[in-house]
Amino acid sequence: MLRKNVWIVFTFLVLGCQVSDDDANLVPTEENPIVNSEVGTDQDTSDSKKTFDRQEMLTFIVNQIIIPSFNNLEVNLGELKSSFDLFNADLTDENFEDLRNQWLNSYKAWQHVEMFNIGKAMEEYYVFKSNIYPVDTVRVKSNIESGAYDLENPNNYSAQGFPTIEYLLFGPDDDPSKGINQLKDNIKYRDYLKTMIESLVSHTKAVKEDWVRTKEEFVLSTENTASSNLNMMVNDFIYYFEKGFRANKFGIPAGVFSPAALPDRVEGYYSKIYSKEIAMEALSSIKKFYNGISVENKDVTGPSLKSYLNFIESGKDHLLSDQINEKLNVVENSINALDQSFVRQMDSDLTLFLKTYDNIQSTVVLLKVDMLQVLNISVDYADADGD
Amino acid sequence: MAIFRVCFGFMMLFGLIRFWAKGWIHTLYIEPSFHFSYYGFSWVKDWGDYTYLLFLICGISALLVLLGLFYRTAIILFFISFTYIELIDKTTYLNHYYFVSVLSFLLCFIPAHATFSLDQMRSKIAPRSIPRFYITSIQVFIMVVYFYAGLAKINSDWLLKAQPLSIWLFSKYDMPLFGHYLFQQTWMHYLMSWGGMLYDLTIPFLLLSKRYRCFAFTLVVLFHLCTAILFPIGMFPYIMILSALIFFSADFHQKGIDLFRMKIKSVFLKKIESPVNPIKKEFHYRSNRPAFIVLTSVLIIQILFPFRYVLYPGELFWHEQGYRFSWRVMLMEKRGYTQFRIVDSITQKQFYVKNEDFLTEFQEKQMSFQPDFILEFAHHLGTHYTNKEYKNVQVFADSYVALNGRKSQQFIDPKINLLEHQNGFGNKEWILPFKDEIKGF
Repeated sequence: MLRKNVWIVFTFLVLGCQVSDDDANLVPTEENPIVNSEVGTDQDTSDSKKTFDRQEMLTFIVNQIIIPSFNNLEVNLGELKSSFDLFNADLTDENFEDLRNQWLNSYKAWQHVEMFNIGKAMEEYYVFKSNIYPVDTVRVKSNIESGAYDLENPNNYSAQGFPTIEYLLFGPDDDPSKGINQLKDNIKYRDYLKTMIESLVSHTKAVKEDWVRTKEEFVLSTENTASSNLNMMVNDFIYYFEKGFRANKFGIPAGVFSPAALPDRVEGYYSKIYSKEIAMEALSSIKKFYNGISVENKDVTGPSLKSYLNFIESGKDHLLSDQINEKLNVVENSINALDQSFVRQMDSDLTLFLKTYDNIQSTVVLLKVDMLQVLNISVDYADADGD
Repeated sequence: MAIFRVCFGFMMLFGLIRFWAKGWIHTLYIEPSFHFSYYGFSWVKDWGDYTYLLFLICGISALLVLLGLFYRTAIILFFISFTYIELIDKTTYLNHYYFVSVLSFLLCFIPAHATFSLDQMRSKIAPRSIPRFYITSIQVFIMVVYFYAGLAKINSDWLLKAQPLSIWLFSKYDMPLFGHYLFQQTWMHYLMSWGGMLYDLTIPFLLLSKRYRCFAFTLVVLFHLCTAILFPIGMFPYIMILSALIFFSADFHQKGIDLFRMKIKSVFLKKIESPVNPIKKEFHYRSNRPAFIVLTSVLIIQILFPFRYVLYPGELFWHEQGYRFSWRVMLMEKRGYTQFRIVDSITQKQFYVKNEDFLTEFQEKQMSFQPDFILEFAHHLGTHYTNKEYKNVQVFADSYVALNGRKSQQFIDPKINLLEHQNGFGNKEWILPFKDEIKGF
C-alpha cells in the first residue's frame, strides 16, 4: 500500500515537472525583440526585458517627473510672489490682472505635485495646506479681521492655499469687482494674501529640498511591503486618482455622494472659468506619471507603471496597460466635451458631467482592482494575517 | 496526547499574546463601528474595551491547558472564548482559526490531562493511557484538513495556470536568494503548485505510516517553514507542525516527556516526584460512549461539510457559497471594488456611500469581493439611512471583482435592490455569473 503511494507521488512529480517544462515556453523570451531600454529611447520596446528594474523606475519618476514638477511649481510661485509685490506697490488693474494670471499658472503647476503625498509632503500636511476646497470663507474673513491665526491648525486648512488665494483674488461669486476693491482698500486683505503666497512658497521649497536631499535613498526602497516607497507611491497615485481627481474634482460637486449636486464644491469656484483647464492639467499629470513621460521634455520617456505592467503581462493579448490608457483617453475626451466652467456645465447638463464621473470611476476599477492584482500590491495597510 | 496538549496550549497562548501585542484586539475588534457577523450569530458582539478581558480569559485557559490544571474546565472555557472571538467578525476569518476551534472542541471530550499534567500530579491515581480512539480522532481530523486542502487544489487554475501562486511568487522579487531569479520563473510557479497539491494529498498517509513517519515529519517542517517565510499567514505553519506530532507513537512521546523531566532534574539538582508514584495505582481510561458518539459525529460532519458547495450552481470561487469552513487555503487571489448607491425609490434620487465612513480599510477590502459581506453591509446601510429619515431607501451595489489574474468583471447585479434579499443558505441569484470556467474540486 505504502510503496504504491510513493509510486503515485513519484509519477505525479514527474508529470508535474513535464507540465512545467511545457509551460516554461510560454515565457516570452524570443517572441518579442529585446531592446535595451534607456531613458530617451522609445520605451514601448523595452517591455519584454527579462527583469524589470524597479529602482530604475523610481529613479525616473523622481528625477524626470517629481523634482522637475516641484521646480516648475517653485518658479511659478516665485513669479506669483513677484506679481503680488508689484501689485502691492502699485494697485493698478493691470497688475491685478497679472496677479490673477500668475495664480492660475501656479495652480496648474500645483496639479502636477498633488499626487505625491509622500515623505515630507505627508509629514507637513502639504496637500491639506495647499488645496482644500471649498474655502471656509467665514474663517478666512475672521482670520483677516483678527490677524491672529495658526495656519498649522487643521481647522485653518480650508482657509489657506490656492483656493483661498483664488477667493481673495476673484472675490465672492456675486460681485466680481469685490475682490480687487477689498484688496485695494484693505491692507489686511493684502497681508493675508501675502501670507498665503509666502506659506505656499516656503512649504514647496521645504518639500522640494527634501526630495533632492533624499532621492538616492528613496529609490532604493522597492520591496513589496506596505512601507516600501514603491508600494506607497503606487498607492498614493491610486488614492489621488480616486480622491483628489475623481471625488474632489467631479464626484462631490456632481452630487454623487450627496442627495443633490453641490456646485459650490467645484475646484476653481470663484474664478469660474478655469475648472476644466485645471482638471485637464491634473489629467495630464496622471498620464505622464502612468506612462513615464518626462515633465521637462515630453519626448523623453522611461520605466513607469505602464512598462511594469507590460513586463509582467508580456505575451498576453489585450494588455491591461493599453486598456488603462484607452480609458484615460475616454476620460480626456469626456472632460474636453464639458463647459470650461463646471458650475455652468452642471447647470445646463448635469448628466454630461455625471457621465465624465462614470468614465473616471471605471478607470478606478482598472487601477485599483486589475492593476494592483497584476502588481500584487496590497491596497490596505491593515496589518493582519491571511490564509 | 500529553505533548500534543502542551504544544497546543503553548501555541494558543503564544498566538494570543502575539495578537494582543500587535494591537489587533483594538484594530480588528474594538475600532470597527460595524462587524460582519456569521449567519445566525449576529448576537455575538464585541465587548467594547472589555474585549481585552475576553482575550485574557482565553489566554489564561490556554495556559491552564498547557499546564494540565483544571483541564476540563479550561479547555471548555478556551473553546467557548476562542470561538466567541472568532464569531464577532467574519472579516477576520482564517482557516486556521476554524481549525483551532474544531480542535479545541474535540479536546473538550478527550482526557488529554491523563499524563504529564498538574491535574494528574494532584490526584491519587495515575492514569497511564487513554483509549486509542481519542488519538485517532485527532489524527483523522488533521488528515481531513490536509487531504481536503489538497483536493481543493485539483482545479484548472491551480494546476494548469499555476494561479494564484504565479501572482504571489512573482511579487516576491525582494526575497533574498530566491526572489530575484527563482520566483520569477514560470516553471517554479508550476512546480510549487503541483508540489503543494501532492504534499497536501499524500502527507496524511505518509504521517500515518510508521516507516515514512520521520520523513513525513521532516517534510511537514520544511513545507510549513517555507510557507511561513513566503506568505503572511501568522501562526498557521507552526500550529500545523506541532499538530503533526500527534502521529508519533506513545513511546516517542514518553521519551520526550522523560527527557524533559531529566532536564528539569538536572537544572534544579533536586529530586522531583517520580512520574509513576508507587502509591498510585494503574488506571486506564475507559471508553466513554457519549464522547465516542460526539467525536465520530464531528468527524463525519468534517468529511461531508466541505462538499456543500455542490448544492450551489455556478463557480464556487466566484460566489463563495460553501467556500469557508472547507479547508480551502490559499486558492484565490481575489480583489474587488464595491460601491453602494442609496436610491429613493419614488423620486429616483440617488447618491453613493463612502465605505470608509462605516468600515475600516481591512473590512472594506474583505467586503469588496465577498457576496455575503456585500449583502450584510447593504442592509446595514439601509437601516442606517432609514433611521436618518431618508425615505423609500433602496440599496444597489456597483461591484467589480478580479479573480486569479483575470480581468475584473461586474460582480453584483446593479439593478437589484439588495434590501429585497436576505442573507441565508439559499442561492444568491443576484450575483452575476462568472464569465469563465474553473474545472475541478
